[in-house]
Amino acid sequence: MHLFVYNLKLLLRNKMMLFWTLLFPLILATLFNLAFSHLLDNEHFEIAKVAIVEVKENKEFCNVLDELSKEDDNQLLDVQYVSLNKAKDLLDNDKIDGYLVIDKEIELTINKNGISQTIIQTVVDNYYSTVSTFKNIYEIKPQTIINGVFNDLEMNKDYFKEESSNHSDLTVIYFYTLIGMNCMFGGFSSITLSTKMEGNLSRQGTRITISPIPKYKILLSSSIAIFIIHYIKMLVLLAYLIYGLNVQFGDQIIYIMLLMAIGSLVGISLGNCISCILKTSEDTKVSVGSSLSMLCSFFAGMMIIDMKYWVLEYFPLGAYINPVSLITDALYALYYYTTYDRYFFNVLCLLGMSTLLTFVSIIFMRRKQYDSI
Amino acid sequence: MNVIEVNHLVKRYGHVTALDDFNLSVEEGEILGLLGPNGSGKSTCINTILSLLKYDQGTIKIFNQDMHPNRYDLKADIGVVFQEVAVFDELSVKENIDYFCGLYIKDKKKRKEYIKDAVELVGLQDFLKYKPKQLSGGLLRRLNIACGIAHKPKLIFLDEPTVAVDPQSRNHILEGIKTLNERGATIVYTTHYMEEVEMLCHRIVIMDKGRIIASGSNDELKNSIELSERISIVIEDIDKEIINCFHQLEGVMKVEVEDNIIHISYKSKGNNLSQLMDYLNQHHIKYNRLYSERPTLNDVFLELTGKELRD
Repeated sequence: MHLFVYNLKLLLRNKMMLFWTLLFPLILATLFNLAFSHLLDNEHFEIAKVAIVEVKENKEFCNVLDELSKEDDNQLLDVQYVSLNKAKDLLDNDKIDGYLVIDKEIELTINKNGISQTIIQTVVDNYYSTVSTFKNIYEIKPQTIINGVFNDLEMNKDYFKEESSNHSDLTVIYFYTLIGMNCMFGGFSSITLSTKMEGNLSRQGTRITISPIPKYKILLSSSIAIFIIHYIKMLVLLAYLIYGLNVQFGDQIIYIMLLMAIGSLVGISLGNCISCILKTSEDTKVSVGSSLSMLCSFFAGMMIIDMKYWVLEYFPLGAYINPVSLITDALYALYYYTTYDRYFFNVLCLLGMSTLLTFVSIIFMRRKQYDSI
Repeated sequence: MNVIEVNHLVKRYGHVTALDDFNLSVEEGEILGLLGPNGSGKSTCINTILSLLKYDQGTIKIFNQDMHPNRYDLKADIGVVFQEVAVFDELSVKENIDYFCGLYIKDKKKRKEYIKDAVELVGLQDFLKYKPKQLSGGLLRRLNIACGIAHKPKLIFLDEPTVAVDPQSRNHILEGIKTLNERGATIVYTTHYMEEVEMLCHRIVIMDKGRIIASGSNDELKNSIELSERISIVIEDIDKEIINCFHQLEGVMKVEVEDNIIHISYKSKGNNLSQLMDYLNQHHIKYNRLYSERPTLNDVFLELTGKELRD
């Protein structure tokens, strides 16, 4: 308890550490918010205006169009049924983004490229794809699709809905990676404290090493103190993101808090591990720790969001050994999926990582005598 | 009873032998001075005895028991004051002492008393709320000592505690060490300041190149060398003839000239000073001042190794 209380004091009075682990993430979150709120304004979807020229009746396709042009939050299309001449006229006057002629085939006519035109083309392509699938199944096993047509069409609607919401919420990943990065920042405190506790790295450490306190007690008390302080900093960041910046994390706050706790453990374990393995100065260790945190954050998509997908495509293992990526993905899973499978998988990976890092630290810390000090 | 017993200790750093068949025993209640130039192995000796450093050969016993890193029972009775200041900048003077004392003393009430005693011993009463960075070099050294001895250990290692300390703080520190010894602590004191060793230590061990080259009390060491007395004469005009004459005097080992001072080293004890005064008067040699000195520990070191202690 004595060591624990003094470790708390040492951590709270380290102003440099407080800046990097508390103020810096808050500043970064504010900058993200300023940058992305503007980005979101620019990228907001416009509803695609499309004219339909129905030369031949196609009920299924018209149903799809009706579904996608319903006036609600997910409306993708604004549809009007007109003659061919009227459609050409509307397009020439930029009143519509394109028109579809429904004959034996469905033909799209546009006079420029853009997001709206892409949406219309995607609707058509998706319709054809579904119809093709439907026909193939019908030929093989007709009975299975008696009730399937509308489900498939519904699936199309969901597809567009998801695409739409994905686009507007991409920026949330930046905040997820920020949380992940801040979890790793817990390692800075453990590097600093470990250095002060290690006999060959500081004179305070030498004094502690010759005291009658076993090393595991020293490691335990400092790790608990670091965890408590760092977790409070994480909660401050979460509160600021939710209440200060209105970042949407859904209604699963307890799970987010659990993830933050485990993420912080990983950060602290990583810091302990760096401190135990590297026989260099505290500054060098902190540099290694911060570089590693930034690298993990980079590959988790903090600087370039596509990096996350690039890693998943070309080096999937990288996503599983990157704690920031695991934290980001767990938050993502929590927000987008109704089940907790993916969330808990990530949590288990993080727990495993923390256990492994702690194990390695203990092996290196068991050394109680030095070649030189 | 021997508090420390070190036998045939060998410690190597690569090809460099820092401790070479080193043997040491420290009796309960004594102040033992480890004297030697920088790099002679004093700090390595202490760190090895404390089980901080691995060693290649030999045995180390403290309080008649084998010392190794897990002997927490033995560590509980040991206090160490290192050459470098080992305190936390984030904690105040009082908190620093409490932190280190708390590693040994669990009882808060008892600890409070111990801290008070330590603070009084080093004279930091007026600086309890100061942070280390607000203290002068001397005060910082005093804090360093207080942190090392607050838990009232039976055995204290002081590794050059007065390096770069102002005279006032140095006196305070030396007086404090005497007090600790009077209260029953056995002390191992390393330094390359021979005056401190002469003033403090009951027994002195002189080290060079990881070996003990001489040991004994201050008098025993000084009596063990050929030089018994050094007489210095301050003369306005020194000529070579006078110097040659001094060489002829009985018992003279060496005559050295330093500016306008002639240092005459005698190997024999006796009435050297009055004989020299008679000689000066008989030959009408005028002098301004004349004084006699006993050999110093530096002379002992010089005679044994051929080099100065502070080389």
